This record gives sequence, C-alpha cells and structure tokens, in this order.
Amino acid sequence: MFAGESPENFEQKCICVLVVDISGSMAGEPLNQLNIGLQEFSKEVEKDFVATQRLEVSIVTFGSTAQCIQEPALISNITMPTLYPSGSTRLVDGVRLGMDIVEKRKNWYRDTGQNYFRPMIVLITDGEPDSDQDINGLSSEVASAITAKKFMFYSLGVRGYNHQKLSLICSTPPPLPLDGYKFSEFFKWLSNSIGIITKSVEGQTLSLPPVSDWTQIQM
Amino acid sequence: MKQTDWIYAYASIIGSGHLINNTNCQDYCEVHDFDNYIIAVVSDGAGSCEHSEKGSRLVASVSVPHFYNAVKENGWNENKELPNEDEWQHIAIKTLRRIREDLYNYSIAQQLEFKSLSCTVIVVIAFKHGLLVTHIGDGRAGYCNVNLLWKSMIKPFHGELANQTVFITSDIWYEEVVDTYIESNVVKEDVRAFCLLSDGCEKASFECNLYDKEKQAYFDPNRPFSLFFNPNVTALQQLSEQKQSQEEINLLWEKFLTAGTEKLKLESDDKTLILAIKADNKISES
Repeated sequence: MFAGESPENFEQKCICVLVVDISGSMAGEPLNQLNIGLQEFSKEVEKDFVATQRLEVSIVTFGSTAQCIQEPALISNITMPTLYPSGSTRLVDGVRLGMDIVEKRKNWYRDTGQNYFRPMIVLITDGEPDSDQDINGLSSEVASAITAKKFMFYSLGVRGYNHQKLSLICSTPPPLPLDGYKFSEFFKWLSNSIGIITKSVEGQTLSLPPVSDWTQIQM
Repeated sequence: MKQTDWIYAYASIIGSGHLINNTNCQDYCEVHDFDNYIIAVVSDGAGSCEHSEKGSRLVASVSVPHFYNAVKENGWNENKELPNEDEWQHIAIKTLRRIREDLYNYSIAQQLEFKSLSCTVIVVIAFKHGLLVTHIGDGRAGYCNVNLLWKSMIKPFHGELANQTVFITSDIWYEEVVDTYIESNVVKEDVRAFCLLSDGCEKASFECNLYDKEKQAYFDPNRPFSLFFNPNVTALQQLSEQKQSQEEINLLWEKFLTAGTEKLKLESDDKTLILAIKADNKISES
C-alpha cells in the first residue's frame, strides 16, 4: 500500500496590511462590528492550516494620527486588538504607512530567501480624508505601485463613505461598498482567498473567490 | 498489465481550493508505453486563466505523439546512444514548438483566446539506459540512481512572486531568450526510479523550502524526499508482483495523493504525480 513521509517545508508568505479608519465617525456600531470581524478573521485563518503558515498580518490605524499597531506577524502570534475611535481622518498618512510596511517586509523576505505572494493592502474607511491630506499625491503613488505590481489594493467602503473620493485613491479595482456591517463575511472571504492563491501569469490579477457575501456589487 | 521495462502509478487530483471555487482540475498527466521506453507528461493549467484545464489536457495528450516521433526520428528506440544536452535541448525546443502550434490551432478552432489556455509542461522519456527530460514552467522532476540516491533533474522556473511562472503560451520563444525558459536535461546514469509532478505535490514530496538556522535564511535544495518516495517505490513493486492492473494501481495512487500525508491532505492546489520504477530493480525502504 502507498505510504510515505513529507518533508518539513515552510510555506511561502503573503503579507496583508489592514489600513483601518478609527476616526470619530466610526464610533459605535461600525467599530463594534469591525472589532468582532477582526476576532472572526483570526478564528477563520486558524481553521486553515495553509493560511496560518502563509498569511502575515499587519494593522495600521488612522484617526488623528496614523500608526502601526501590529507589525507583520503570523496570525498565531497576534492578539487581535480592540479598536477605539480617535479624532479626524488621516487616511493618506495611513495608506502611506501601509505601503511602507509592505516594502520593508518584501525586502526582508528577499534578504532571508523567502518566496512570497503579491502583498495585499486593504483600506477600510467610512469617510473621506481630512481636507489637508494629499489625496492626489497618494492616488498617483498607489497607481504607479499597482502598475509596477508591487501590491494589490482593495478599498472597502463602510456605510456613509465617499465613493468618489475613495475612487480617486484607487479605481482598479473600484472601492467595494460593504453591505451593512458585514465585516465578518469580508474577513472570511479574505482568509479563504489567502489559502487558495493559484498559479498566475506575470502581471495577471489573482483569481479570488466571489465576493457576493459581503459587498453590494460584484467585482 | 503490460510487460514493459517500467512500472508506474499516475494520477491528477483536484485541489481543495478548486473545489471551493467550483472550478475543474487544471492538472493533466499521461503515461504511454512503447516497446522499450515510456513517455510521461505532466501539465498544470494556470489558475488565473479561464480555460487552462483545456490547455493542460491538450498539451498532455499531444505531447506523447510529438515526442514519440522525436524518439523515432533519432533512433533512440533502437538503442542508439542518447543525445548530449545541447542536441536534446535543440530537439526538445523544436518538439515543444509543434505542441504549442497544436495548442494555437486548437484555440482558433475553439474560438478561445490563446493565453486563456496557459499551462506548464514537463516531459520525461525513460529508456533502459537513461532519461531525457524537458520542461516549461514550474513543477519538479527527479530520479533515483543505483546508489539509491534521489536527485532532481529540473529546476522550476519562478517569477518574482512565489506563484508566478511561465507557460507554453508565454512569449518565451525568441532565439535570444528561449534557453532561459526551456530547460532540457539528459540523465545517462543507471536509473532505478523517477518522478515528475505538478507544484501542488512539491511541498509533500520534495525538500523545497527549508530553513538554515546558521544563515538564518530559507533555501530550496530542490531534492526529492527519499522518505516519501522509497516506501512508494516498494509499494509499487509489490502491487506489480501481485499482478494489480494499471487501473487498480492508479486508484490506490489517487487515494494516496488525496490524503496520504498531512501535507498532501492540506494542499489546496491540484496535485499530479507520476512515479515510475524499473521493472527489474528493487529499492529498500531504508
């Protein structure tokens, strides 16, 4: 009868930076549901062995300031934070910090001989940036990074978000409006997507599972 | 069961990721016996391409007659000496071009975009006195010599990202670059067994992403894992001695590839593995 042992290979890594709006307008139900969603995300990833070994998560929050509250780490090494509202919407600073984390992590992967999948940045916001934020500058930085295939960028619009402003930051793919506060469904989708990344041609986008469970539109 | 120089098991298993996405298995494989040699082919469709399962099926099936013709034209089936690496690379590229042409004609006939059929390909032609191997893209192939040492015989091609590679449909055919993307090798030592597989099986059967504590870095030894292959070589030998049919052997192999080790069980990608052993040799499990 066929039988054998497998070697102790390590998984290739995929960094996912969650850039999360914690400005005053997210107070109450939105942040409560987002906090529940983050806990669910952690549980969902832990159900999938490949994702636990592959996915590194980093969390950036932005309110009156942008800060990295979770450096990149495997889910098993993370205690999901509880987020609290804080002031205005330094969205541009938050996204730039997320991009910086991705670049540094990629360099670390290269320096340590690790293969990696295309990084993901997920922006979650219900508002629009403070008026002094350089949204046009960010837009061109994100566009050129996407053209250079440095990362994939998804923006998730929470009830009340400004679609036009968010589309300025990234129009391909367009912002996805979250259906109600279905953060848990969104994070379940994200977790599944990481576990089943498939082979692709240079330059092509990944084939991700359908997103109908948590958004109001089809991608 | 056919009485040939080689005994083999082969199967393609749909990955759990494709079951979730409700897509077909994008891997295909073929093994064909001829008088004194066999041709084994593994083709793995690109997950990001809409009709890649059609591409891999076609490439796997037409590879056999094209490489059969190459063998015949060069007299290797009549025990003529195997070519050197340069000659084989030249012949392999010429033959792969014909396979690509067939795929292109198929895309026209079926009104499908050519690149929607993207797939990798690995071909091994096994003679009593050696192996010829050629490939485009990723996946692995290896063999076991008379000293029971397992060695790899190709190097998978990877892009900057872990899941990126080239395909038979890729723009890799210009004279200046074709040798970068198509690798062909000749094994002239006495071979006891060989394997070829899609990347869905590599983490279960090859040492391919290990950690060097001293250097604090990861590396890919690209080494077939003997503790994976040797017990299966023995099992295959025993099944043959028990006069099991090829269908029965393949069914058992399918079951093994589905969940025979924890790594195989957890793999989300499609899995294809062909294992062949020389009929007159045995390998102990040590």
